[in-house]
Amino acid sequence: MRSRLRVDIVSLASGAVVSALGVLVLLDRAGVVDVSLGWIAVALNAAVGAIFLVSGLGGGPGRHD
Amino acid sequence: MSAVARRTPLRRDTRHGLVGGVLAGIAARTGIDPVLLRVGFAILAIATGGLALLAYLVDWAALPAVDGGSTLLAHTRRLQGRERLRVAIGVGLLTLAALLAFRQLGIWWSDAVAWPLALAAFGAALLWARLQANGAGAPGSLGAEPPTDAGEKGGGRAAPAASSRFAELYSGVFGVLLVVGAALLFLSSNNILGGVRDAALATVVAVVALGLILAPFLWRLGRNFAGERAERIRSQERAELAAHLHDSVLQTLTLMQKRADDPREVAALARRQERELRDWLAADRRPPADVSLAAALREAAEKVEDDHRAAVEVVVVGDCELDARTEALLGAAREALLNAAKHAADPGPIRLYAEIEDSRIEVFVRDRGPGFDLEAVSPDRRGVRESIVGRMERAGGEAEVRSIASGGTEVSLAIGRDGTAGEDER
Repeated sequence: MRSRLRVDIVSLASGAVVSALGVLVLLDRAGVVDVSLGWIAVALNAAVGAIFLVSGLGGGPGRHD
Repeated sequence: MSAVARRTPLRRDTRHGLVGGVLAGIAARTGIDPVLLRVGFAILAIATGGLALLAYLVDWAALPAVDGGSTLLAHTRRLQGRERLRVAIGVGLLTLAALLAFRQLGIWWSDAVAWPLALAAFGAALLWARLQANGAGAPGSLGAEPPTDAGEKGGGRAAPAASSRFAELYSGVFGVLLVVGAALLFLSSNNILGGVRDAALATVVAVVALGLILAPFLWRLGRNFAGERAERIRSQERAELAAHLHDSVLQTLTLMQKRADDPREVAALARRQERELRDWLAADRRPPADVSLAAALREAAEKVEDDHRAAVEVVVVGDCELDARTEALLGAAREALLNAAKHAADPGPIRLYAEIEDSRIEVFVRDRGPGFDLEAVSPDRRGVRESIVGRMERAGGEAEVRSIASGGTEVSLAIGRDGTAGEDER
């Protein structure tokens, strides 16, 4: 029997990226790691950039067929 | 390096690569040991402050894989406008994140070099993208690509929308500004602009100070100029009005005084002057008489008034263009006005009422004269029979002459806009 559940790659990747960002902030808050403002800027830029990239590439022709 | 190796196109070797297969592909293309290349690349990455890693990413995106897969750039070219914008923003943010990470790690030249370079690269990328887009739109050009169903190529580029042209212009200007800003930032960061900056700052301060000192005088001067201009315009308008009144109304009043013993002449002069004043007030907004039926009817009435010193009151509702049928109607109306002016002008004004509708035109010419019986008119007098009734019938319309119970005669003319009398459409 074929499953009707379809995985939305864009949402999955975006969720993973945001979760990773949350884990990083949580670890910083817990004192496990010391994340400076400069590294927070790096992580934020990378997270938002990755979401945009995945969203753009995932919305290409034929991806939603 | 063998001849076979030279002929092999550069591709990513994903089967033998450790990361993206770029170095393995270069090794396969050049014949150099991949281990040597990887060691050299690691040294180069450290020496260039991480820029070699960016070059690796660019190669990974641009080079096709040996297994025949398309490049990331080829895939992004097939994307539509919004997806392509998202990819561009994503790549830009990731590049910024990489630069910030290198800065945090200390693998960095200096802020005075890296940021201007990044800005200039972004601006140049925008300008190159615009150049390639224009080249792809031109048939036969080097950058031309076959049309795809992605939307932006093919028909989409043949007739770009105004918003698309505006976006292209905006991105081009933005790219130029980025490159210029990067150059200024570089010069400023390296203190090359110091002297120029001091001179520019001194000039700006001097201009602002002078502006603050002169502002009240300049403001008053501007207001005086505006007031004088308004007064000059008012004086010109007053002079034009006085000249017009002198040439028209005053002259007519003088004539009326001289002709006070002839009431018809006085009335005709007064009516002509009234007409001129109305036309002047209308400021030539009426259409010309050789185009508009309403204007032609008014002109015919005015001519009858002038020629026969008879008062004609004109009311026209609606308008249409002159054609063969309306020309016939106009001729018949003119003849009816002439008859009324000749034989029935004394008891009161002649009235012309015209109603121009979408499907039918009706004209009524009414006078207060003694009236006449059309059947009793001698057959050799063909004015009414031919010029009015016959003309209307030949044009497909109809004309009727009837006496009014209260006295006078009414000539009614009717014609359909499609050549019929129009009665069935009522």
